[in-house]
Amino acid sequence: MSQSICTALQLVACSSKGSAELLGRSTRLPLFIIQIVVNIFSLPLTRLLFIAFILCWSSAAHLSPKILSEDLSALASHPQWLALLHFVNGESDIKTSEFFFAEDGAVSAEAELVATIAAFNTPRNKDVRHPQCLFPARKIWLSLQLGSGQFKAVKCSEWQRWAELDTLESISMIYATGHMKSPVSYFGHNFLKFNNGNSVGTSRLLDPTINFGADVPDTDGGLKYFIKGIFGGYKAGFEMQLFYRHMAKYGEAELRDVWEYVLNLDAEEVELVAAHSFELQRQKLDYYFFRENCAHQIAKLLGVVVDRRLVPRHSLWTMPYNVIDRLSVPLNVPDQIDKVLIDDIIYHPSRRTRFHQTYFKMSTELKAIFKRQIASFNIAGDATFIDDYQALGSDGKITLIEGLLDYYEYQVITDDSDSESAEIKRRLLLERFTLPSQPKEIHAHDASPPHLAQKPSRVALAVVEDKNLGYYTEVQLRPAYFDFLSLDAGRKADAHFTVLDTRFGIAGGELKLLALDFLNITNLNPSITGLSDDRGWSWHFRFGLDESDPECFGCIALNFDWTAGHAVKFGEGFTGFALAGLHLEEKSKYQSNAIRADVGVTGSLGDSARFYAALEHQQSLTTTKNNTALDVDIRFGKSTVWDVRLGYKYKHASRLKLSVAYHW
Amino acid sequence: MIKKISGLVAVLTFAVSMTSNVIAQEGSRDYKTALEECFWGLILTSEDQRGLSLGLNVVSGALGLYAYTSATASADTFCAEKEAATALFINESYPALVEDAARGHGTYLTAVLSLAGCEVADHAAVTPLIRNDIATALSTAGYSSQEHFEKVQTLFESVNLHSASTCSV
Repeated sequence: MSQSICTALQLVACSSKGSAELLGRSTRLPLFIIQIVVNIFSLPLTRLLFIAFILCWSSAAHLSPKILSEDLSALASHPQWLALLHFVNGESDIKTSEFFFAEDGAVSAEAELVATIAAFNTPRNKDVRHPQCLFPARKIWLSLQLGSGQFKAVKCSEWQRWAELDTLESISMIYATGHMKSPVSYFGHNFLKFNNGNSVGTSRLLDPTINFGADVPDTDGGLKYFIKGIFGGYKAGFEMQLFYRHMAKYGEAELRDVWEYVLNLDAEEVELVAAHSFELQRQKLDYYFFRENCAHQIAKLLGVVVDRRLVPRHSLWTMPYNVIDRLSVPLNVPDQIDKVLIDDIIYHPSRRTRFHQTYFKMSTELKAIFKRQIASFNIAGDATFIDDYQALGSDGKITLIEGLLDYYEYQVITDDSDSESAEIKRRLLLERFTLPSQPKEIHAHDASPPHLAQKPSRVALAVVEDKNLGYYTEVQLRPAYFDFLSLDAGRKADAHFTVLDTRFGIAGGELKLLALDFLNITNLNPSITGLSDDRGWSWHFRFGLDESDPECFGCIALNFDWTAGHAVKFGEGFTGFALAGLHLEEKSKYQSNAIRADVGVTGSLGDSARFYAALEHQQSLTTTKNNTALDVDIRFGKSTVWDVRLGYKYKHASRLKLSVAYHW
Repeated sequence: MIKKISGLVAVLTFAVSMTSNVIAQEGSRDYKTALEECFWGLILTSEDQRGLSLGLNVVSGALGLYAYTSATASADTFCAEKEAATALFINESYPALVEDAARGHGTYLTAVLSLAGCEVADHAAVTPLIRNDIATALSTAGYSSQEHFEKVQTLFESVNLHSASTCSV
């Protein structure tokens, strides 16, 4: 935002002054001004500064006795004022100087408060935007604190047009589920949506949103992006987009489900968040992938009205899940006992999920025709409709065509060079034109919203009986995120994604590091419907330290695994998989680098238990040695904060483990 | 990405041609420059001023582009016209939009008509006209081999022409 010369010069003249100095000086200024005029008024620059000083003085003079008697220090340390300035530990996160009226406003909330009050009372200038119009949230909040009569009445047409407050109904926190194809999206994404009453008929597609993201040059890729994302080097900012653009990206292109949490905020709170969003446009902040990320900054934006921590205070990382989790906990403040911050939860399923919903709502007969029709398309290649389809009534045809449209669009999304699917979809669209007009049926869903997921950080205490090592105690610390045994809610199903998963062993008074997975990902992509094109490659990647000698307590070596293959659904929600690839390791008593093959199964055993079982075989690349290991784990309990697990592992010797874990 | 950008350039160029009468009336204004500024402001993800591109006022006449234009040109430049917002929406939502057109109902269809300035009361009248155009386009030989921007341009033309003639724009 551009500052006027007037305002800029005022900043030069006023900004470094403390409140007492600024206010106290108002009675002595005339004499001081005369001295300046007499001595140095002839210099052009100082002439301008002088004018600014006059304005500064006059601004201070406009402060009413009521403000002067207020404890400005107390007001400057008010949590909402600090939230409006994005202060953390005595310093603002905002890196653009235009965000502050005081020269030291980025480090002094009190100086910025005094400078803001002064700036809000400067005369109007038709050529520049008035400070009140640049910072409408500050104006709203200060008016509430000090009384609306403290400031000159200024009409801010740009802000009024921008906000459309008459039709702004509510605000939603959006959570886009994690995306396993891109490391930066593994943890999901947060942004805010402004729900406009005029856009109800468009399913909110035209609702505005505010999003936070890093400014990453197109030339930065791979390692450079990784290093700068983690250790710093990128600037980031807020951007306004319409909701449909997010749905095109997340729901269609990336096939990610999106959850919308409509917040229980009153009209004044909604207006304050909108006003602060207006202020944040064009401001720049530092970006860090693990902490100062989208979840952190969007939570801080909401923090101007939500009186609670939406991100962990002492954590080294912030996850989008943390924000959703904290919003879901009822408020517990004296005048708002059990106030619920969430009014409603709306599910926006991805294209792939919509296809699954449509398919599973079909009758058995219709599913069979669906499969035969796809087979016919695949064989004939000319997109003709089979006789079974032609024999259906219009309702059956519409249901089938809607399912096929989702299916073939899903194929085009996953492979944009798939011209056959694009051609079949064209034929399906033409067929749909011949059928009666009616809206697409919206199916009820049984998906669990993400705030019901097991909390991502885990500490576990286990008793282990090892055939070689005897009994010992194991402590597990896992900052993030989920594994095959975690509760199924708001996360990628049939997947394992952990970071810095660390296990220590305690035996005979010794504490040893037993394993450390820097990164461990398994992403199974079975066909949910049983159709062959409804699946993707499954893969596993792991890099970390693991035991190198099963007879040595705490002997570890660097390991790397990469495998790929396929997974299938069977029975009542079971997933089987077969993967093959490489196992590389620094040193080992039994073998070195090897070809690796895994087969396994995972699934639920009722509401309160889930299991994972895998058989792993490794054939050395350099010797005739080979290893076979069996790994079986069962989780009991369905709490989001604790679970009990029983594990058995055989690799050269048997090992039985019973653990109890706390999640936070 | 390049294909999408070039596609939207073509669509927006078409939008300019459609509004040539308006351009002529407005005399010396450099419409092409405004169009380019508008386009890059809307499309480029790494562009510094992207945060200015959309305001909250997206459903009414200003179509949410006021904030961007206020930083680059006067508020009544091309970027503040509904054509840019309509073109962008069609460009990014084309598959869902055509599906809605085929079924004759849907949120994407409602949204694009709203962006084109067509009141809800007029949607029932304009929808069959757009459906007919899209059905014709889908039946055209070579549709499948068309570039994305060509398909977008056809739909853009249909939406704007029928909205202008049928709706109380």
